[in-house]
Amino acid sequence: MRKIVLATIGSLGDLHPFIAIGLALKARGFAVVLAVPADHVAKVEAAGLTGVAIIGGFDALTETLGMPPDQVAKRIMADQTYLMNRILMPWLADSTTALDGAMEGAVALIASLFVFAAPIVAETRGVPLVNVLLQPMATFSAMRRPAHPTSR
Amino acid sequence: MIGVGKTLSSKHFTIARAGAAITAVLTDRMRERAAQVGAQVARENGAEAAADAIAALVVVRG
Repeated sequence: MRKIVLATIGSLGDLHPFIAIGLALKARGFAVVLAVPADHVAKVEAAGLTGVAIIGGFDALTETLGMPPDQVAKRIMADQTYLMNRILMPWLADSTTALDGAMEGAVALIASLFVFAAPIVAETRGVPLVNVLLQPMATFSAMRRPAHPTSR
Repeated sequence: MIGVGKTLSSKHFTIARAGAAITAVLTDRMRERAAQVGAQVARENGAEAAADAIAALVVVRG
């Protein structure tokens, strides 16, 4: 059975479409692994798919940043560079190692925007990478910079 | 504009503005529009289409 890894780092709005695609691939005979934040693994398993953690959950995030959850959410929404510089980049090395481990024997990697480890792992393993763009702000254009009403 | 939501700026967020936005989305007109969009999205069957495209890619590559 050919194995496909689906990787997403984000909210439930990112996770749910990935579970749906994972179930559809499973129905087509693929062995599906979802590589997700630690606090999403149980939800993936409850849906009948295999889940692997490639990054800490929101609890680990609030602990690392030393802020309560509501403040973390507010900072992320108010400043996109905060998400990049304080969360995604410091966790990149570990998530690359974890995702690479999950990719053992896989024939393809399907990933959402914030899984920066995905292109690295796909290239080193020589497997195709499918980028999934779930949000209008993820659709980059030379004509107009990506933005939502509160971004800067 | 799809017409099924309201956007609030986090920089200018106040309880009064949030209250007005919540009141605005809880109207029958908004509910009916959301139901129409929901039915349209359900017909698209995006997960199945995505899985077909991914499976085709893997088959092509062997």
